[in-house]
Amino acid sequence: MNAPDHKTWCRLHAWLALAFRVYIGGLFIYASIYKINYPAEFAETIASYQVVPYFLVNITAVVLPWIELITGTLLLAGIRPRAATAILGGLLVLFTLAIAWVLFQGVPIGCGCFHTIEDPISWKTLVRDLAWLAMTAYIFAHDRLFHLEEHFMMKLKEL
Amino acid sequence: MTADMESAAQPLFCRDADGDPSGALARRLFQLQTLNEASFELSRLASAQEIADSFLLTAMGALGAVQGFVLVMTAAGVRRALSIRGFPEAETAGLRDDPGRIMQTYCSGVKPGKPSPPSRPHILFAGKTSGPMLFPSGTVILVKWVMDDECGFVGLGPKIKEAYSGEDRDFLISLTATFQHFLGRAFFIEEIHRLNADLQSGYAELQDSLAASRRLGKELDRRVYHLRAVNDTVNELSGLLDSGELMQRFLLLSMGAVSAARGYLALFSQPGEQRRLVCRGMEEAVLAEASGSRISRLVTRMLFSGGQGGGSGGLRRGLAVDAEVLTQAGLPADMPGVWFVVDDSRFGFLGLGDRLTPAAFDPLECDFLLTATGAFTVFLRNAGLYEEKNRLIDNLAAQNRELQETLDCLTRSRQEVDVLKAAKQRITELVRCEMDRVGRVSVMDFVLILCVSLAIGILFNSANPSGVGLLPSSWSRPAIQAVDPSLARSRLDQGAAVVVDARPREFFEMKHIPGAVNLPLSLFDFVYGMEMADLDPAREVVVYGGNISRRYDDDVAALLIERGHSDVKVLSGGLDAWEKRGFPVTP
Repeated sequence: MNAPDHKTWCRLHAWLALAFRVYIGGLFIYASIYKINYPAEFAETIASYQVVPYFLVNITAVVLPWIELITGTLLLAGIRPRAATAILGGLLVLFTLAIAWVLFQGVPIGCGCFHTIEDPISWKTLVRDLAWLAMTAYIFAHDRLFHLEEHFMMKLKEL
Repeated sequence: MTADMESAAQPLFCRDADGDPSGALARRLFQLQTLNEASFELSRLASAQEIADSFLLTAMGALGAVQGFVLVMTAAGVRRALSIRGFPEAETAGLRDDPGRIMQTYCSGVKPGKPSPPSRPHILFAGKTSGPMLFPSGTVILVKWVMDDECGFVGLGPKIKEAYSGEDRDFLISLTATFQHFLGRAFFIEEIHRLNADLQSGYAELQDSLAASRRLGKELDRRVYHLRAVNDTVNELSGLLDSGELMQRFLLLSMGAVSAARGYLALFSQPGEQRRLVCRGMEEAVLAEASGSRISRLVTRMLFSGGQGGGSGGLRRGLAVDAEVLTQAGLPADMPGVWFVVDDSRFGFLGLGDRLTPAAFDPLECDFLLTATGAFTVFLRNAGLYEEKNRLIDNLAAQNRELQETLDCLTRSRQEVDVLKAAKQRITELVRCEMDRVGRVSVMDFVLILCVSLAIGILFNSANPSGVGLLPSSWSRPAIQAVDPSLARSRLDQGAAVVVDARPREFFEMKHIPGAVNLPLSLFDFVYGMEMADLDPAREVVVYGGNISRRYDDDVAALLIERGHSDVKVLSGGLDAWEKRGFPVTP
């Protein structure tokens, strides 16, 4: 049995990246919905991490879910996907660091990733976030299928 | 007069009767008298034939001959006079039929146009002759004479009683001489008569010629007038370039030339049967039936029938005067005129009526009409060409204008195309730039996404019923008095102050100042009611518990002040500063 050639590998990577892209994009859109609706609770979550200065807590609670929603949507649709992936990756890095910090501090709080009331942060949470971060990196490296923007630009270029 | 002569001769004859016993004198007298009478008689006669007849009778009577002839011929053998008496018919055939032969035989010296020397009358022979002879066989005495180019013979048959004597011969010669004389006179008279007749005929001819020349002169005058009219017409028409004016002028000139009071000129064009009509002295309605097709048929018939001045000889015009023909073509029958063909597609008819003379056109008028019509067709063609040229020039000008407009339009379009090209170029560049950007990660994208999120988030939060305030509430109220940890400890130790831990319960349970009351912000009302409702409002309260993310101490202190506590202070530096001073915490 012959080993798959480079082209096949590339296609495999691209399709896998597309699957990750859909997953991560959908994940962030889902995560943003509740936080957008209840900014006060999310502000408490942020404050519980004790990472953000008190005067930035509320504004972060208001803006961060929208960043998640918009970048998730852009990633899912394939509009500026690399920029969206980068932002999402950056957010995941921040979240992972925050979780690591909380774990290191031993503060007994919930993650607050999707809802206010969740199980307290644990190593599993950190691993999960690291897995998502790896997916994001994979998307950044291999994603090239079904980019709405590229499709649109190709049409424009044909004109 | 004769009576006088006889009375004069009588005494002489009678007186000498006795003195002349042989009768010689009497015979002599008789002969003289005869000569005289003959002279007298012959002098009254003018014609040569009459003179010859009279002479022959006189000579035969005087000499007593029963047969005789007289023949006078010209040198060419033409008989001038012939008189025959007493000879049988058969014997005179030579005299009647063959004078040339006689001339050749007896007068060979006489040639026409070359007068021979004249010979007086002389006896050619006397007495019976033997052998063949051109003259009648009974001829006994023959006298011949030649004068100028004439030759004459007098022949007599035998006398009744005796033979011819010498006197008889002399008498005959004398008588012949007289005859010759009168014959010559008669010839002169005849010549004079002939000349006179010639003169008269010449005069008559002259008169005829004169009359003819007068007629010719008149004819010439008319022809000159006609030619002048044609010339004037041609000159007048030659300056006109407008076909309508040309038609008007030609009609007027034609009417003037043939003295017509009414006239029309119709011009037809084959395609579409267009008709142009010019009328003078009549209504156009008269020509309502004259359609192009009917006139066309007339013209075609005339062209191929070769009528008067018709299509023969290359002429494409002619007269049409027959009333029936005109009626068939729908034209007024009383207005004859000229049909003409201008070119392949145009033809027409010139009709003229109410002329001063009701007769048909005379040849000059016909000639004028045909010539003038010929000139008219030429000028009409020229006018048509001129108008066509003007039309073409106008067309050309219009086309030029259109071309100019098209060029302007093209120029504008080209400019637009250039602009569009530039726009396309720009768009293409933008697209290429954007395409490039799709694969890259740019700071602008981050900024854009952040800004959009910020704007939407703030807007949504302001509309959200469960929205939060964006700025910390501590910034909008008076600063709460702070207390140094050392001072706070001394006050606690003195029992003068109550310590309140404002943090959430989990943090309180992890670490807190001994004796502190846990009063979390989220459970403030509930815990306050349970644990601090009895507290003296004037008692000093020291609040701590702020961290980097939340000013719990500040918020709780503000609520306490709201509840009426007058001496509320915030622990300066919080729990960290407390611990740093080495003050006790639990657990």
